[in-house]
Amino acid sequence: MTFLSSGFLLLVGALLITYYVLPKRFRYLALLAGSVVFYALAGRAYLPFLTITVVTIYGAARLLGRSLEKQKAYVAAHKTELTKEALGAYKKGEGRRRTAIFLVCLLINLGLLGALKYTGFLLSAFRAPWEVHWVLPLGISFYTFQSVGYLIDVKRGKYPPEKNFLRYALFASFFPQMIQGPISRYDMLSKTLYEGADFDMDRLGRGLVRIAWGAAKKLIVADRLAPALGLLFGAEAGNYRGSWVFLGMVLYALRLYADFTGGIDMALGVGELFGVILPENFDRPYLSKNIEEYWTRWHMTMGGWFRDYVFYPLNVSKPFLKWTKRLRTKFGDSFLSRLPLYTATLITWLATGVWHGAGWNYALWGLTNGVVIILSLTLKPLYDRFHRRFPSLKEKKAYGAFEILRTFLLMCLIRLWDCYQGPGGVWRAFSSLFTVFNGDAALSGLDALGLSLSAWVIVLCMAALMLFVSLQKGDGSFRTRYLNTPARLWTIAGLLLLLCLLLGAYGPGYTASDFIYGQF
Amino acid sequence: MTFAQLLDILRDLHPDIDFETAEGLIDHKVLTSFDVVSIVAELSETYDVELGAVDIVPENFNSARALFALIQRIENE
Repeated sequence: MTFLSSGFLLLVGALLITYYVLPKRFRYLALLAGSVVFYALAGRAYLPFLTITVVTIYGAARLLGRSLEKQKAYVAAHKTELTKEALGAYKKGEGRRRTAIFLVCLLINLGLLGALKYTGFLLSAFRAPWEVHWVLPLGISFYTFQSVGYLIDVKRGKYPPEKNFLRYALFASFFPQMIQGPISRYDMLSKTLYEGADFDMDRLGRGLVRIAWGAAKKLIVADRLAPALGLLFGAEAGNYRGSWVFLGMVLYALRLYADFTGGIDMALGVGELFGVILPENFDRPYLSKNIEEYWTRWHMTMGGWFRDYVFYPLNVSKPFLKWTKRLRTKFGDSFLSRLPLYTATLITWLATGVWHGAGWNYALWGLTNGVVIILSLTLKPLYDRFHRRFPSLKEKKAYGAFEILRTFLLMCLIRLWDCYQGPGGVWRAFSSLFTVFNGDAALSGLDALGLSLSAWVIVLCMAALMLFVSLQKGDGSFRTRYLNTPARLWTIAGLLLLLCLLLGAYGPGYTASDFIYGQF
Repeated sequence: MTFAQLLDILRDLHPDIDFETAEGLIDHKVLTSFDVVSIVAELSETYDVELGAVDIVPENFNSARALFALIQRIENE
């Protein structure tokens, strides 16, 4: 089930009525019931796996919370009578218990995710004589990471565990984020998830605008481009080299952006209908001036997850700090003394790549990102020296535009791992960019990609509109500047829905494309 | 460690920022995750101040004053 199915629209409609009819304190139960129905409709076979995650994480978090409370009470009661060492020993013992609980729960959940997602790939990678075709529950990577993040936060004592099982179950399974995220944090989401918002026509209008805007991006840009990209990167990819590869990687960037941000807009819009604020996942990423900045603006909730739960813990772990100290003593402030930082960067990016999917391409995509980030860090002194020599350059708009274009093209190149099969396929496509010069053929053959001239014009106009909206955001969000009266809200919502109906890729014989990130 | 020593560490990373008054260092993306890791490593190596992953939250790194308050808390524990 996707956002653009009649089943989903019916479910949201029925849920809206139920939600606002119920007394405030029961409204979260309507959301939980809706989430269960949504997930059962997406695939009844998925439900047991989600249940295992909900039950184990809830139980483990309660045990961790109890242990922390017990420790706090014990320390307060025995502070004066016990020595510092005795208290330290007690804390260590409780800490060990918590670590054991945490690891068992982590093993169950990451083991489940790993088994379902990677077993088939590993068997084929090691040429095992048998195959498996296990079910892969919708959004398993998203809900598992969201739940594990919650468990880590409870273990760290960032906040106490949720005591009410049903409230926790809703946090882990809130249906708009099950298709492709965002990956929420409990302390943020819980502020509005259980509130039982009052009915508000303006908020409803804002939610609808966001949903319609997301649908427009998905239907008018992403789905219209899908057949062309299927040709460029499909079985006949070998016929499309040189300028075709360039065209393909730029169109793929556009499609991925429209698809992923469109889906997130719809998730956030649906949340808004119920007064639930989900975290933003994008901040105009294609306007970034370097790769490090790009990754703080694209898929922000995933990037934040890996930063907070993998990258930082690795870097501040005792072995890594000791390693850094040893290398600094030996090599001073040189490239070699930063090896621990680079190792943590590569591990984090390898994990990010593998999170996206089972396949060598995903791992190599992650590692390529890590290597490029390390290179840019290593070259930073050179870059700084260059800017000290030409201090006015950074002030120039043209230079800013050059930095944006450079970052955009770099990200397009890294995404070739997404587009072609295997390192050989990626290499052949990449090298043809510099060896095959067929710009004329690519331009004159655009109609052979399955899109009519009018379809290209529609896609480009919508892309221009998306760029216009993104550029407005620099001075406050487009919504706060332009959608600030009920009349404007409802008019824009209506116009956007009309735009989807008139210009979207749908109709007889059309099946809504799945969201690209839904497969992760 | 003193506030002045902390300012030295921060200025080494970004000589162009006035860390005595700057706020929102994380929120406004003045400090990157690599800067944060460098600060933690420097604090551990030179001043034996050990920050845990739990301490690395925006509130503690948004200003030099907030970071110094955290360091003092850790030193007093």
